[in-house]
Amino acid sequence: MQNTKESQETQVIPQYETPTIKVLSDDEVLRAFQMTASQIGAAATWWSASCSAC
Amino acid sequence: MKQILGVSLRNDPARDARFTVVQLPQDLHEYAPGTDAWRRESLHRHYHTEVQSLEIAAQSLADFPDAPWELRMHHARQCWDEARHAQLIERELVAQGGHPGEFPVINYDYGVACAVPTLGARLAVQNRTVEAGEMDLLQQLREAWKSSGEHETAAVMDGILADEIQHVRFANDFIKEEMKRNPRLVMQIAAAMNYVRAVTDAFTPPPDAENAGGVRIADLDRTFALNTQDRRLAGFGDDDLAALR
Repeated sequence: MQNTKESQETQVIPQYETPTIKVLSDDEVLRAFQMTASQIGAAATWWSASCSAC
Repeated sequence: MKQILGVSLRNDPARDARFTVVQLPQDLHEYAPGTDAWRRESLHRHYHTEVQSLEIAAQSLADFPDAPWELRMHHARQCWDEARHAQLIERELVAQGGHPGEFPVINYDYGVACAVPTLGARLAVQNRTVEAGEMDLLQQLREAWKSSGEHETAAVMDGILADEIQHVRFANDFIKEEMKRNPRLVMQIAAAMNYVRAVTDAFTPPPDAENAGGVRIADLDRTFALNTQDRRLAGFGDDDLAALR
């Protein structure tokens, strides 16, 4: 493959970013993976809170 | 295991001939809010969910025979509680003119929870996530029944909610202690919660889908306010609650 000026111009190289590490505690990981009742309810297998009492 | 919509779930528990078991939420009969059929079907689904909670606790006793004795006792007590809850809701269902088996049921909770292969991760999915979410739902149900003057039914919801606090709490206590002893647990929980998200995404009906009751699923209310007070009693900290809002 020829390394033409045209192909060089089309290859946009992102700016270098220094790698970083974020350290999470067990509790922070646990928290990050929580799901709310509404998120679970999206599967539509739960009944609605507003339905039973009207 | 069974394959539904491209995800693996635990095979259905046995059901007697009264029940029609379906595999998709679109095949459930959830009716337009306000009708008698809507009220009976909601109680019927609540009843079936309590039965599944009993079966999940019982299956966990069978699947993890080497679990610590105290945890096994918690699961055994949960079986007792959930059986009682099912009977209470069945009583309310019959009082509304309904009966077990009147509507199709789906074994979704059981299929998801019992597909999780490790004990700590299963507790995170079923007790810490699903049953904690049910605490949010039960608070709303209690208030809704109270507002409509059905104080006895509101009291039933309140009693069930009190038991659920303990079901969530023992799981939170075990997870926190076990994470200190077994660092792998947090990654097992992360993997299990990713699995739950994948199943939820697969099962979420399209916005314009209609269920077997002829109702557009997107029109049904699936929002639940956070039950902060009872989640605190169940072992959720301030940071946990903030992340859920």
